[in-house]
Amino acid sequence: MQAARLVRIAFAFVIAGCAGYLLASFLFTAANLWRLSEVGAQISFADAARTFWFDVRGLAPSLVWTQYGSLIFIGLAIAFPIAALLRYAALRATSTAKIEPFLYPLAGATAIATILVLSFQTYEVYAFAGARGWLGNLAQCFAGACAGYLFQVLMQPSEARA
Amino acid sequence: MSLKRWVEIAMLAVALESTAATNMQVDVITQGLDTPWGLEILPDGRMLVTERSGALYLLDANGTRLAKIANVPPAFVKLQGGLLDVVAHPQFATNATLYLSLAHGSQKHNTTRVVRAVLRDNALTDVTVIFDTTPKSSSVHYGGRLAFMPDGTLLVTTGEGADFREHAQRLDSLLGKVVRINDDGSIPQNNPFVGRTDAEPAIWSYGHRSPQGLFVDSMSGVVYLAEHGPRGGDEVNVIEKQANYGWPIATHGLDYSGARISPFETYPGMREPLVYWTPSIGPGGVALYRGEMFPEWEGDLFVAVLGHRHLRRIDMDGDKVLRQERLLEHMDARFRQVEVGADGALYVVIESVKGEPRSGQVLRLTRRTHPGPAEDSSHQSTQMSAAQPPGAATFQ
Repeated sequence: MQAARLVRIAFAFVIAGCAGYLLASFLFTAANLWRLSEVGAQISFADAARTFWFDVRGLAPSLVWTQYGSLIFIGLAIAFPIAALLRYAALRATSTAKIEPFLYPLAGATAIATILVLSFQTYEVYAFAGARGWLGNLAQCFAGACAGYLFQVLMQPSEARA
Repeated sequence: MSLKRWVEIAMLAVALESTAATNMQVDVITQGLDTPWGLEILPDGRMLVTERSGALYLLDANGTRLAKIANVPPAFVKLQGGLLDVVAHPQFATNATLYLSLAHGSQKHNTTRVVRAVLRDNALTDVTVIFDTTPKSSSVHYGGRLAFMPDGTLLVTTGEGADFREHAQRLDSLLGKVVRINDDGSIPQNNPFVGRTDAEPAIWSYGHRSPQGLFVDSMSGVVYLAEHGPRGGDEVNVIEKQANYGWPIATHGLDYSGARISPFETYPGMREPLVYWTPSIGPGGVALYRGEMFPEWEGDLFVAVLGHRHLRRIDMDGDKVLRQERLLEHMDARFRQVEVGADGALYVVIESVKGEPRSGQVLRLTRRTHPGPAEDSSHQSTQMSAAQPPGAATFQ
């Protein structure tokens, strides 16, 4: 029973992490291409698709922990257990139970925000150019929130999801 | 061109390489500098060298320190910022006027600044700010190389500040440009964007990232610029009026994150580099050799290489790159700047050796008086010279 639960958590984490990473990568590329088009670059759909595919591979998680994809997975791996603890605490009181649905998305968004803040403090420039500006930051945090939401959905019992 | 001609050129190139390496004498004429950045050889042979940490030194022709120049304007020293380049006015012998570039301001609001000053009694006087870039809020990619054109106007390189890379394509921004100003800071009326309300009139060329090398060939008027790419895409460009050099729309480099900077390596209407390096080598200063000391190097480009730590000779046939050669690679030093002296010697600024603090040097590369045997390479020559540098001076 315990093993089945662990497998379920791992499955949910991997699926949510991959989805969050893909969305973050897509928004990363979109932000960069939008900025280029703002200064006159003519970018076709094929150019954009090719760039997105390149970036998905270029930013992908690897054994190099400073890769953006690796950092996303590390960040979510820290954030989701904290969210689980907070969820456990929140459900114990009626007054705080209402925030329970927001905890995993909030944890995902916070994980990405922390990555961006720490990398900026380390390098003193945006290490991840697709996250530049408040819109770029929000877009990446949105991807983290989506990962959290998906994790939450996948962790629900199947009858509850139905 | 016939195959025979190509073979002849190749054999000649090999012969020249052998001769140059064998006959090169490398002397450390100054050492103990703290991240030196700019070097200017004055008409009387004395030299000025800047330290990025803010000091300006006057050296004699043999590298001995004569004075630390007083009243140097304070720079914003952080990451890549600080006191950058120094050049003398073309009529320095009569007006003693210098130009300095430096990072100015604070983390949240800084510029690449150019000041004009008169060197008098080992101090700067009449210090006047003559140029500032568009402000930015990052402490990297300042540019800051200075060079006078044959017509007496001053070229200044400016970086795009990394986080503001699209500014390199914006004509209403002075980031990521080569700008051209008169010696008093005013704008030459024949600059390409003068009269346009949507453009900065100082712009000479645009689409640059982090240009840290600039050289004007006084004989031909050709302007060479070396600039850092990100991961790959380091470039040497031949700068022409009004031309767009592509960054960040067209680049051979990738972002440090592994993502693409742009879908395009080339783009219609944007200039291709004379030569580019992927992976990056980290080019600093650039100079074209004109001199009698090494006739085999006549017309060749030299690039001071920071990242890959060598002095690079680009063997040129007119505007064609024939081959490239790494010199002084064994020194494990970050090469910052290279200048050609009036005597034909090469003067090379080393930012640091083996990453040690205050290990900056100025080298002088001359032809050996008594050429050694063929196997006596520049490697050995340098070690011998560095151990007992004649006329060497040490900064403490």
